[in-house]
Amino acid sequence: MSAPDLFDKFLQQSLTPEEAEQLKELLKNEPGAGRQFVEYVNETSLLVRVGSQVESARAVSKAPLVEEKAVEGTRLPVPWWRWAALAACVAILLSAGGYLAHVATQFRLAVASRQGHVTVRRGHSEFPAQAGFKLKSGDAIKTGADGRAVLKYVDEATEVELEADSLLQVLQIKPGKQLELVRGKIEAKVAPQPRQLAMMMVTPHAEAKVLGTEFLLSADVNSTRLEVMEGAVQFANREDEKAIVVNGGFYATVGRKADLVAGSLLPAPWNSQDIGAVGLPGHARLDGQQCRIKGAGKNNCRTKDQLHFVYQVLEGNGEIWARVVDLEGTHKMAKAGVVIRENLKSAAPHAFLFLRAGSGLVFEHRPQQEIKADLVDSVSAPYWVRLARKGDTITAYKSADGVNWTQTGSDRFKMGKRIYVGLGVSSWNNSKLATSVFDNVKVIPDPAG
Amino acid sequence: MPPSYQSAETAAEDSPVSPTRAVIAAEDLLRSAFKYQDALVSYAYALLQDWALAQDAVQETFIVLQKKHAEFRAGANVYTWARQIVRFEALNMLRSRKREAYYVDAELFSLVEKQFELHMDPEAVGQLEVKKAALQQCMGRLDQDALQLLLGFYKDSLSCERLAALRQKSVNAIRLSLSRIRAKLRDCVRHRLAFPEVNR
Repeated sequence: MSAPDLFDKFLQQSLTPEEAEQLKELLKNEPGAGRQFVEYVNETSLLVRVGSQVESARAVSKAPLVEEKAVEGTRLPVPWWRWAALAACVAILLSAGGYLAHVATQFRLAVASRQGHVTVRRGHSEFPAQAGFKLKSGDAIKTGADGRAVLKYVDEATEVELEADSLLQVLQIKPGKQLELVRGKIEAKVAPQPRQLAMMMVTPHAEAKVLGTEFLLSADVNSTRLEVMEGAVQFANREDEKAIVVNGGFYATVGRKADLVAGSLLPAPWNSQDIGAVGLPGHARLDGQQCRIKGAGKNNCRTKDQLHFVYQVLEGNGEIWARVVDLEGTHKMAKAGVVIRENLKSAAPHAFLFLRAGSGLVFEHRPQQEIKADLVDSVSAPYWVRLARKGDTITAYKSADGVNWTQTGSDRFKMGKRIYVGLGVSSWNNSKLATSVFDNVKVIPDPAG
Repeated sequence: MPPSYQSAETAAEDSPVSPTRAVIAAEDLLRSAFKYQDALVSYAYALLQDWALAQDAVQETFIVLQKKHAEFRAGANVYTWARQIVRFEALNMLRSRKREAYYVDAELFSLVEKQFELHMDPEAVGQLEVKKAALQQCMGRLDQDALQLLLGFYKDSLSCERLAALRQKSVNAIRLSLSRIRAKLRDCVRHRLAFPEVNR
């Protein structure tokens, strides 16, 4: 038998006693055999490691997306987890066939990064969490007041960000991911999951079933709140077993002795949507007094825009103010600011006063087909921006404190009476989202019309 | 003779420690140890011949490193220390499996250990990282069928006979395929390392 065949049989634990003797002889007496053996094991180890990554990446790109035709807030007639339990039984049976077991072996969870005080409790011991630490079923991850941790499932794009003062327990890693948020808040981005192995998120009051989406889940002793930015999540009250499907742009809450309540993430009259052919869907939500917007989009190509736009309709004259608190850019040219548009088409006449991630305040204005962009200051966030429409003129103002405003530019537009005013975020990169936080957002209609 | 079960503590004492050097932070120690993760997994794989167990052994090793970082002195060899802990963890796992009638050939175990001590020098550890980067490129181009065959055999430990039955092929055809895929990947890695500018 050749040396590689012997090595393979060794790694397979299938050496016969004679073959084991042959391998020992080889390692003891054959010059160069020891090095050849080590190189063979190293090579095999790398093949498995890299091969698993490649296979998982391919599986994620082919896995089915959510197909349910969900309606916001519609009650489902049958508690979904009964179906899930049935599906789980079927899945277990199928796994005997090999496929699911094979998929399941890929699910591994690790601490990808952490800030501040973060610990892992395993059994009776508790120790600081380090980046790269692999988690097991039963582990609990705790963040302190200054703590934050990102957990990532190895070999796929699913990640869970645990915010400060949170406690998350890993119920199960495979087959199928199950986490329990005991308290605190998580923001999760879940890659498409195999239909039989939906990800389960549990809190003291609710259960969420996820096939692939981006959402935020928070829980305290009294209630649980789910906010879905993208995709759809089935959300169930653990007490009365009622369930709803929460779509992107909507939230749902449930509490002790309280019914499920669902609604839009943005209060009326606000709406949000992507403008132009952005590479990734953006989304927006209110976070206390702040509005958090994520948007993709390349450079405004002179005649067409790409951004995520949070807007409301304004009839006649008026203005919009906001403070750009933060802009976490994917590119130094990523932008966030206040916008006035004639309509929601990508080539609409528009005015956009924005901060760039790399610094700089820019007044971009396209009254008709030709765009102009004036760098009006070198400031960076946090900073105040304001656009005012009066008749055919849109004027841009800037301020460091929200009290003392300086005019930075203006242009004449031929827009109808009805216009769209709001906040815009664009990443300058169509494969990534830029995140911006705004506060003190005000739309002030001119009482004179 | 059965393999000796040296404790992690003893393993730490055996490492080349300079008592005059300062204790390094747990985080720094782990950061250094993570650089050797591939080499440690490979070593654990050789000792345990089970991919999932090897990963677990290395995970446990990092926990021990974290807990016992105060015993490590700056300037000592992190890889050597970590490898000794991997050995201890692997032996622990084998011992627990022994109760399940898992057979360990002590002489073969010692020989395997010895080969890694002799041939897994810093240069070989460094080479592993270089090869991994090249292999990522090469495996990305491997067709799905070949990839599944490789993983079925090495990761899931399916025998050639089992794979032959699943794929309705002969055992020899499976062996030949595995051997050809590995040779093809080896050539690809060699080519990428020899001509990095061509493959950029």
